[in-house]
Amino acid sequence: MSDYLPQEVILEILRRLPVKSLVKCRSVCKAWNSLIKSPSFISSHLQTALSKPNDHLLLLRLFENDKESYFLHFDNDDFDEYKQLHFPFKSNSPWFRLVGSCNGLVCLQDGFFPLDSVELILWNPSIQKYITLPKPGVTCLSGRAYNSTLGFGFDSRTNDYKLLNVVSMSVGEEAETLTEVYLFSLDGNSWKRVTAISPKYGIEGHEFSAFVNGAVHWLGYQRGKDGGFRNMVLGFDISTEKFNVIRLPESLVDLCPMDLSIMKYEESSIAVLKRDWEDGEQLDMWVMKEYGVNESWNKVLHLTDQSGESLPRVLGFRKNREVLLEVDGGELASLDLNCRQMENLGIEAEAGLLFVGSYVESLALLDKGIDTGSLNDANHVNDSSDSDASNEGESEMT
Amino acid sequence: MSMAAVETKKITLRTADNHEFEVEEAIAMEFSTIKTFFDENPDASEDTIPLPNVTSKCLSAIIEYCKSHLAFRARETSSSIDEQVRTYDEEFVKARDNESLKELILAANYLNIKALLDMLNQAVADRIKNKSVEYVRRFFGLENDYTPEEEAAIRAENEWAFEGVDPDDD
Repeated sequence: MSDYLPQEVILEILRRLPVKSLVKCRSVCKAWNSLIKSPSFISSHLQTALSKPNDHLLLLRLFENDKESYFLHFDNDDFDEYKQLHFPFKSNSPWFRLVGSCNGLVCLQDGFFPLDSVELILWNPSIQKYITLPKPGVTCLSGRAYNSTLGFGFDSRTNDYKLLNVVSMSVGEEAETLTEVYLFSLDGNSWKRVTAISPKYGIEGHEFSAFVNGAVHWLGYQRGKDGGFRNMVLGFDISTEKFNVIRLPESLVDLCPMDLSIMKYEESSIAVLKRDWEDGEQLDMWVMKEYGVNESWNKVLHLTDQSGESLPRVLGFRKNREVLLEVDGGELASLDLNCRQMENLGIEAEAGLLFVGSYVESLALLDKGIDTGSLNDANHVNDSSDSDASNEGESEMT
Repeated sequence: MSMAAVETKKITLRTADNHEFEVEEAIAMEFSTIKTFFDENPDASEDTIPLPNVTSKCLSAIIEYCKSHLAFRARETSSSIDEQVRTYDEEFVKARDNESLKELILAANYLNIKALLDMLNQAVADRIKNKSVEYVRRFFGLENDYTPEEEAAIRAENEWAFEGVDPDDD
């Protein structure tokens, strides 16, 4: 009886390994190197990781005086740190803009204007690889004022990461808004113009999007003849490349658009925040308990300013219906919506925090990306922080 | 209270080393390969099924595993049962050396026992994940077909992945 395990069994074992082990196993032999780098294995490994919700991590971004740092935490009671990620990039502006994070990849935007000078980076911090995207090549602008909004997501039908760029500009004497939509596919490493008719809703000013259920969601609005607003949620399905509209709770529909913001709620729905300053600062949070079902909008949080102190910033959701907040200008806290208990998590950053989202370690970009070690460490951040510092290594290799 | 004697159907299996095992039908049906065979040949249940790819040592362990898991499944689900299942699986694997694990995997694969196979595959993944490249090669019986330069290049490209490796213990 042969002791050699058949290929399909080897695949079953490998897809259960963590990314660090898999990258190391590339040097086992050439066949394994090809296997581990193959798109089908990368995708199968991701599916395995996604199927284990208990292993999902939370990605945090902290701002200190002159640098940004990224940390992965377990979504457990103690919010334990898993590791600090090595951040090798240097932006031309003070900070990168974080477009989004999805299935192990983070999308960073450097610069804002003009569009042609904007650099877009896809980064896999878990395997220290990145790529710089080609420029979208939006040609219609020619000197016009325009607005460009980005969204990042994953097409589970084709196992492809995609980036959406919605460009809108005023044209003609009547200042009509012309909108063009461009879609980048990582597999094709190229942009294409999408011809879907986008509903006549503007998303200017709403840079933050929520990627859930295969669609990138923004808050959108229309301006009525009387100057009033109609707000709604605009979703772009990354696979079918179509827009759809989700209605907001009545009380939010005619507010000033800039008072509203959207975020992901749990793994498959959305939440909308309303902030206003009319009667002292107030914060309301609505969640769509059942995605797509208008009647399921539920107000789950109402905060008012007690003593002239600023209200917390809502960063996002973690499991068990807990909300991550930034309090006192830089400290991370977790609020249990059920019992209304708030717990300080013992993490703080001078210049603020951002919760990027839930995170899984994946092998994305293993086959296409550049090693971040090749970049000059401009940030000079904690060079030894992510290495395990134990130099036992391997003594073998006869 | 009288108990009617229920005759549980038994299936006979013969291993590669010519041992015969009589197992309850319920357990034999956990082996998808055998279940499929009986689905297609309903009259064959009296025959002895030959398993030329499975040793008696392996089959014995597999029968124990299936018996225990059937018993777990018969009880009401609860987190304490889950905990017991986890502990049972850990113990099942812990004392076995690599050769024995591989033999079990081959047998579970041949007999097509998905739950056992998944558990064993995960156990192997856990066992090798922090081990050296050489250890992994030995485990899977693989030859290093890189030149020293090629291998050095891969390691240099992914230095971070080679840090914190456990010492080989065999």
